[in-house]
Amino acid sequence: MGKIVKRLMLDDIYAIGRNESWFSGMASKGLHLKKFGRLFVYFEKGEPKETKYRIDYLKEAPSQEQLDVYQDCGWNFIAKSGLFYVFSADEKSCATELHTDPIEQGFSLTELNKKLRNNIIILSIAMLLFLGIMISVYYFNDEPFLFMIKGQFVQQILLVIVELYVFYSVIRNYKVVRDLKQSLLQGKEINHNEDYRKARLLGGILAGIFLPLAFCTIIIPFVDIAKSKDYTLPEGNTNLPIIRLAEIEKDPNLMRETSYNGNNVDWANRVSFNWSLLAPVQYEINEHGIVNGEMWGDKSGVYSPSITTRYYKLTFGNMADNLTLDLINRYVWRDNAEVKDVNHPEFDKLYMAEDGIRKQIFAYLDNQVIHVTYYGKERIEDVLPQLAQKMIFYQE
Amino acid sequence: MSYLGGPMTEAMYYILLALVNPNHGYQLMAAIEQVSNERIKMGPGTLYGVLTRLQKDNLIEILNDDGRRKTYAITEEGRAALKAEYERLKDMIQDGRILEG
Repeated sequence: MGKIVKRLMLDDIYAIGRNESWFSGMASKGLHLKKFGRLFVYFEKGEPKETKYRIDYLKEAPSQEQLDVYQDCGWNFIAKSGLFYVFSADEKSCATELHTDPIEQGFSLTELNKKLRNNIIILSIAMLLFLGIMISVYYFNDEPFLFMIKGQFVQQILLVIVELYVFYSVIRNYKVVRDLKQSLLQGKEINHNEDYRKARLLGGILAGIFLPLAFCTIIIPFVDIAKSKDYTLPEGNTNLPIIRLAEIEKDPNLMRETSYNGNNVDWANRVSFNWSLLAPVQYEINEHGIVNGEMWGDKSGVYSPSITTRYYKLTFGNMADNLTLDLINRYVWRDNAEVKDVNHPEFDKLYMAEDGIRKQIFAYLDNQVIHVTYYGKERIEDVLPQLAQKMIFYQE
Repeated sequence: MSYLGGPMTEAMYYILLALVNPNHGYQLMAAIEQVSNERIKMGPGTLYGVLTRLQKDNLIEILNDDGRRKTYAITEEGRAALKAEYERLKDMIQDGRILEG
């Protein structure tokens, strides 16, 4: 047996004349059809031979008797894919043409034509639903930028593009079969030597664009899962772009307060890292403390301050402003809580919101966005220079 | 596409005609050549395409299937359709008489 050579299908399987012509072209180069599917076609290397190929659409699997009759007429069964069967004959043999009545051949495509039309109807409905969901998710979302950055926005856009390509392919398939059927019903035979180069080139270009996109669509969620990680915040110094509780609380009695421990991670003192194409570095970091012997101002219990930092390093710095506004919208709950626009030389933009013991900072610097929520009695303004420093340091 | 009367394709007409005598696919092509006075050499793809269609439309039936070969025969319905087509063709020949100088 000769070496097997694999080629991409590139053209529509429904383009019968073009594929027949392509198989013949390959055979004359010594590559003889062995097997074919939607994506790949396999050829066996051998002596160049002038061979004619015919693709027959058979609604029912042919019986041995039928294959024998075909063979008696000079046509050898080579391969099948779905309901498409390929037969070949030596160019020089005087095999009776496989189909001698184009109108009858046209009838045989009626069901396929109907099936492809139904595919279009079903896919159209699915596409409308899909696009509707995609648009409404962003359109009716109060924080579209936050959603975009945290969610799989890029992947969703890729998915839309890939879906559109599939949709286009289904329509093109339908058109190819419809045109073929109509031309057969008018008594025109299939052109077995139709030029296949242009269609294969175009198919190649489209596949070159869409196959990698489809691959990305599949791979992105896995990268996301592989890159995200949770771990307990170390008690000592870290390189993380955060302000530690100890930097705000002056009391030397401050101790860490631990809580639910799952997967060896202390959920009250947790670093959660995430990745997305639009924000390749995302942190959500919690820290809880307790000062034994000290009470909250309202005497409701032992003083237990906490701090949560959300940090985003964006791919596109010009999304920073919108993301900051979305964060404010998301995390400033009370309508009457005042959000102050603070002028600070070390940030591009800085907002502060205070609601009793709940104090928040929203800020961005270049492509870095930070949101700090502090529950406690101390002033948060004092740590702003340190925060800016940490962001600059983290950037480097 | 089921047959609703009206003009038949040449392939359909001759296959029905040849199946007035029950036959199997193997010899059917030869029988068609014979019945058409060697005017028609039908391709095997067309033959089996039409057989599948006619069977679905109940114009022909399988008399016998021994696993190796199937014997087809025309049904009453098929015979009636063939007869109607024959009458139509006869009328057409009749109408064409004016051409015979």
